[in-house]
Amino acid sequence: MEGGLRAYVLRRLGFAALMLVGVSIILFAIMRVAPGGPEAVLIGGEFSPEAAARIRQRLGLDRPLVLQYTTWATAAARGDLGRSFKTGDPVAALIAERVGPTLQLTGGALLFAVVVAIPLGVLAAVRRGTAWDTLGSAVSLFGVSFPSFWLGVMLILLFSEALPLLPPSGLAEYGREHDLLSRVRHAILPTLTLGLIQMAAVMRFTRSSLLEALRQDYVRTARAKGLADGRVVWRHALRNALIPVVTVIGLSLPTLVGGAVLTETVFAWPGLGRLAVGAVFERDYPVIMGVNLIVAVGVIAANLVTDIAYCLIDPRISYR
Amino acid sequence: MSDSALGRLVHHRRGMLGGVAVALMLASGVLAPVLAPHGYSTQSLRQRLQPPGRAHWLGTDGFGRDVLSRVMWGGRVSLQIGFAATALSLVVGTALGGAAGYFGRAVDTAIMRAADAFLSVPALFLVLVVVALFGASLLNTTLVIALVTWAPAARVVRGECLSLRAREFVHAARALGAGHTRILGRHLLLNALPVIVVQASLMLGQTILIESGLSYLGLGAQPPLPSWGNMVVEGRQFLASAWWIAAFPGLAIFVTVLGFNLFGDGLRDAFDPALRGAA
Repeated sequence: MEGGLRAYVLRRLGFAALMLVGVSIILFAIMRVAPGGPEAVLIGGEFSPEAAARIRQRLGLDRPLVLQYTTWATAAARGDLGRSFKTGDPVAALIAERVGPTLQLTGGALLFAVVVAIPLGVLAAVRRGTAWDTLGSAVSLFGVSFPSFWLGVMLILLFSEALPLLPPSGLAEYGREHDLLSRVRHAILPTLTLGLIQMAAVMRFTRSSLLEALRQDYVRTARAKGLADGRVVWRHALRNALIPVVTVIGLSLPTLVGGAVLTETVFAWPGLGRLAVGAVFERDYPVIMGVNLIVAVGVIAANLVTDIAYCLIDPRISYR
Repeated sequence: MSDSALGRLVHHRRGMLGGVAVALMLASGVLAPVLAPHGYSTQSLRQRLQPPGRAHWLGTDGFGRDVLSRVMWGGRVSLQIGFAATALSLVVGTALGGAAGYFGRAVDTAIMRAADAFLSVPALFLVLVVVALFGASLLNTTLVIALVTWAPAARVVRGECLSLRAREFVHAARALGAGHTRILGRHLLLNALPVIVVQASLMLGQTILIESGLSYLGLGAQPPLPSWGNMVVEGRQFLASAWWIAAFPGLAIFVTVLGFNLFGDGLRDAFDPALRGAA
């Protein structure tokens, strides 16, 4: 079995590497089909054919496409994502500065979503057909229908304007960046915004997965043995029901990270999303490409870990 | 749609509620030139920041423009882009997903791995790359939303075609000499239509959310042309004194997306009653 697991992990690693190559090709291709090509992006505005030719030569754009791609991808693999057109700073350094706040925001939101959604999903499944189930369905349906940026604005309206309890923007008060309390207070609204949207899918799947688990023979056996209802649900059924939920959490990561772009903009949160949006307005192409590549690497890596964890916790899965 | 499916849809309360919400939002957008009490850019500085009242049902914004009229006109932009992007995404997703499911093997692997790669990049980040390179316009917004939403559609259609291609009527068609195009178009995709229709309804909500998010970031419809997203961002600066400017366009997005989701759920239950309440 261990050999099988090792082979599975290796195969999954190979697949993740393939995904990464696919993503890098997509990003590379989008740049190449831009109007006027990369030189137009670099120069901007009107330019003479001679200037374009010089730039093409300098950037190596006169070389075969495959060679261009491998040069770019090799540099990226070494951590060289180029330099910002606007500031001249290495893109990797700009990303390193912003990755912490984004991880804090997305990690906090995911934790909130899981901690709230799983008990709600359990309640909806155990009390199926009651007001709790209706409430659970409503919460999950509303969650997938709310525009996250509007939810953020409405939370600011409620908790920063009407009831001035929490700060509406930023990572911390100016000069108090290392004050934990200030950081926590600033993180509450953005984390809630992103987490509330995210919890819909987790809740929905917890409910349906638990309903399925409650129909299984081992649950009937546990009940027949006289175990208390709570113990049957939480210790027996839920442990098995959570396995597909882990997969759903993994699959929802791109949505979570994508949602961070809007949440960071609403709350002026200095993360990767805001860096990318600012770079779009500056047409700072290396920054946008770099952020995309790093985000894709993060999502692919997280999915890889989820898949492997899924196999480790569920002995029924064969490593084929 | 068979009579029985239509009958089940009519009796699906939540589905019909969603359908009514969608119909109302569509009607207000389509009829905005006739029904809107004011033009979307008609300014009256003496009327600026008026709260909801008899003269302006949803209040006025910082330029004295009528919020109700702008919500109605804004719906036109959001819905137009939503419908166009969904249609485009479905055409691409159906063609590729259908081909992957029908031909299988290398074609399936190539298309589905490409779909996986697209799904690995968070949609909004990919949208940012494209908008940065090609600029923000209604056409580009439509194209880019289709670019980031074709993959889930392809997955759904592929799954349906995979199960349909093993059915007897497909073998019969092949035995009668039908070509690949005919089998795929007339037999597989036509039978997969209910799934595609359900997917369309659910995707419409998602494309409207992406469009409004892009507009919020300033990368969708450009002022003074209103879209629900850019109205929320305009209202953000007056949040302390005039909450209605940001609240109502957001509410319009919410009602519309919720409507499409409810209607999509209703359609799914109507086409396949076995799935009712499954998720």
